[in-house]
Amino acid sequence: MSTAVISGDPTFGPWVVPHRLQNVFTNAYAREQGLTVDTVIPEPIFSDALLTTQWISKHWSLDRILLCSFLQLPHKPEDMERLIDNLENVEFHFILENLVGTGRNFLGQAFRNAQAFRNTSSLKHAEIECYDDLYRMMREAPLPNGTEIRQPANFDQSNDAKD
Amino acid sequence: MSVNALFEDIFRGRGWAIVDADHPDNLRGLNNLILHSVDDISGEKNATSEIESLRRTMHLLTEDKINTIKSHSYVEASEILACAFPGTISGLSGNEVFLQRRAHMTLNVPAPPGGRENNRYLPSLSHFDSMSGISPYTVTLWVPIHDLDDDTGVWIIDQETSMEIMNAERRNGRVMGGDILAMNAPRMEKRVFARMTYGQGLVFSPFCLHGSVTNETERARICFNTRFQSRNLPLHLRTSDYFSCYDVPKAAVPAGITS
Repeated sequence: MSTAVISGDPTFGPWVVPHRLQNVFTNAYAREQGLTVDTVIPEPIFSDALLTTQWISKHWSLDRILLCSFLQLPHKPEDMERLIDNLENVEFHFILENLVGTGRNFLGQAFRNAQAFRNTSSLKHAEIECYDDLYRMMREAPLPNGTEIRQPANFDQSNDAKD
Repeated sequence: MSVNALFEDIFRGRGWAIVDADHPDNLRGLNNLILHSVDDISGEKNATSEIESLRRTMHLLTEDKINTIKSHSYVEASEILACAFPGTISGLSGNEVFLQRRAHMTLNVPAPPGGRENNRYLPSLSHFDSMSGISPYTVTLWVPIHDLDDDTGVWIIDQETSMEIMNAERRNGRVMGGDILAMNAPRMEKRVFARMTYGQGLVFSPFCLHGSVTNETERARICFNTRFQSRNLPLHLRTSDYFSCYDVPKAAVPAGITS
């Protein structure tokens, strides 16, 4: 059983995780699970296709792959299709999500979940300095069906008092 | 409570509400998870097959066993909660949500006979959930697996008052100073204790200060809690590490909830 850990582009999802830290994560996880790591595969930056991993698997027969997150999976459906075709028999471990599985259904589900997170905007770069900023955002949350909500009579009483 | 009223309460009003499960029978799944975890730990069929008797005897378990119950991975619990409260989730966040991947299970265990050997079983200290990096649109659903007719559950402070307390700390250059943790900060006395019957849950915004107090009764308090938010609203620092995608089954949402 050959196990590989992958250290890929440090930027994935909302995080920047340096290669060394990815290796710390994956190796710590492997130790916790009683797994022996046979190789570390460095994937290049500016790429999420995991082509190096697929090439190595073709020539060296990987059985198990440890990735920090399913957000490191390819973004493009065609890249993901190729990965599934080449690695559908490999057991994937997505450590941050704590998910383990094998096969087309598992990888397809992981890809769809990753896309949902990628397609959701992030407040990471919003100009937030304190909890009050977050609180104001929450107070303006839209109704889930998109309709405007009538403000309750006691909402923002300070403005009423000024009138 | 109508959907709009609930939405107003959580996002515009005091920030919390007690809601009824749409499908309370589903909550039995949570009770079974706890009972099975006790069975697993003891290695034999546990005589305490009912939650009430388990609550009365939990303080007799060794600390190691209690820790094992607490650290057990209740993988199914979050979805069980979502299946029990689809109307609440749909009304606050729509049908396409991010749901906390693994619900938290929390215990508030009375002291064993002779008192505690140590202070490991501290009550939950005052905090609000936004401190963890969830987005401001994430709502918490906190559900006891038994009637909650005493003060061993959760106390909560409305969100406007909570923000006043936090902003007073901020003016002193602090976040969560000792006054809040020790419950000495002005206005902390405005806390109220949520009391519920089995089949109800407490929903609250991430800006309501809450916590629990030491359990001075003879029964343990057992609850599960999970968090959810619309997939159409931004995430903050917690993303795929914390949430997974969940679609509320439309058939499970009670009639009249149209969001």
